[in-house]
Amino acid sequence: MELNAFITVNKKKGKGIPIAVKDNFLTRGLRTTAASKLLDDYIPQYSATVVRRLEENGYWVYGKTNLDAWCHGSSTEISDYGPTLNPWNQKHLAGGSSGGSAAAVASGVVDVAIGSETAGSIRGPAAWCGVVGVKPTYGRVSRYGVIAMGSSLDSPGVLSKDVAGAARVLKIIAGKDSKDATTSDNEVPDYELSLTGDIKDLKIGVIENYFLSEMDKEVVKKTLDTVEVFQKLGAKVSNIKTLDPKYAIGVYTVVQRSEVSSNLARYDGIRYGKDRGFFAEEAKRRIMLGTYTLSTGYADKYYKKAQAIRTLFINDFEKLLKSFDVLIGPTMPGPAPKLGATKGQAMFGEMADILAEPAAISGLPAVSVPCGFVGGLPIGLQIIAPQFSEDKILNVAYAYETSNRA
Amino acid sequence: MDIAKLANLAKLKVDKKEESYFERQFDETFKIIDQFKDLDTSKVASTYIVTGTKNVMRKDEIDSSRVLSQEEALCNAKKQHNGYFVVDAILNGT
Repeated sequence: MELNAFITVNKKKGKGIPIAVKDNFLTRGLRTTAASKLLDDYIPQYSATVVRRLEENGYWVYGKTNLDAWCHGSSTEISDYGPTLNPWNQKHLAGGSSGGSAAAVASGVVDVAIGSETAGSIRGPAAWCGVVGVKPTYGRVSRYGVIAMGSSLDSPGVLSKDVAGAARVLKIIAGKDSKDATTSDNEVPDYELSLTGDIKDLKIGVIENYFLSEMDKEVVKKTLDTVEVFQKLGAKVSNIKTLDPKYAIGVYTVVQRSEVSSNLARYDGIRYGKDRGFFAEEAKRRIMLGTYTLSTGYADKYYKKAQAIRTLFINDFEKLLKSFDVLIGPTMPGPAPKLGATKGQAMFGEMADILAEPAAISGLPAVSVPCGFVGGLPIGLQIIAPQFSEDKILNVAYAYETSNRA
Repeated sequence: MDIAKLANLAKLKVDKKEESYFERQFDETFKIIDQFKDLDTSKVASTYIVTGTKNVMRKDEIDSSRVLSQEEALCNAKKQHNGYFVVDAILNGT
């Protein structure tokens, strides 16, 4: 049975290493749809910086992967090209919005795929498909040529079968880009060299309140089992509490819908694509809600309030990360639900991504690494660190990943 | 919430059935969002950019690597006329 991981497969085989790219990254001469029929016949005239850098470093685009249309979702079920199925159990969701990329890696079509995350769209599908997913610091990887969703949040990143592969590709795509003014000129370390597996005396905080009361007991157990592994490796582990992640849902929803309404205003069918009648239900819902939260009288009540709570989350993480090198917790509250779970659920993604949202709205880097199976489906452990500490989270993930090989 | 007005502002077409559907869903969504009213932010500044980047300037020079030729710029346009995009009229002819 087909997983429907790809919207377009590249007919021109390239030289070098094949890599799958989420279909919201522009690829010159290769159709790019963002999984919306509005862009069904759109052929970009230029490539995203991420794609250009990969092509300059020995990779070729094998195909463009499926996603929730415009990245609006956490299931890859809300794609105008049909859902991507979970490779571990095809009755279940792959997660999203980078679900095609996660499924392409999990099923072995490619070793590494490019995804993008606004809040959970890399870590979520990585956890549900049993692969490694890295959401870098906001501004670490260029957004140039990436179809915009929430511009103050969008972070291109990597999904990979192992941590080393993610480190290798992140090193290529990270760094300053004159075409994206929000990219940082902080130096890009050699992420592969940082994979020593040595985490002796590293201070790890386990986020107690990410183990939600309604969470599956097996997910709790499997996630907490990782603590023992880290302790065996010499890390110093303690429990900590963060600001309640439930508040991040509102912040994320308001900021993202507002930015969506602004970003999707450009689709008028004049320069490219079809007219606005081709927006499906989810896009319409998000655009209208964002129009509301940005309108006179409500911008202060919602948009400004959300951005102020964003500051509270940033301050909270900053305080905790003064005492701890990294924070860990479950990536998702449970394993992948069945296909159809999103039907009629206006807030499916926001609720599913509750544990991914706090780090995302704070612009922090985070990685999800597979940490076992529950009911035959994979789950993930997430590791969060201060801004521009991708080397640190990758090394902790690597230490965990290789701990069984010793 | 006036869904028809929002749809008009956002240049979207929403029929009567969709209007009541969206209205119900927006009520649910705002119930979740409104939880954040618990938090006092009267003395907290808003964050619009998380990395603290300030205005980034560049020289006022043409960067040929990001310029499309007229032909390239038009290649995805459904309607064009003499090398231009065709847009809907926004003024009444007098």
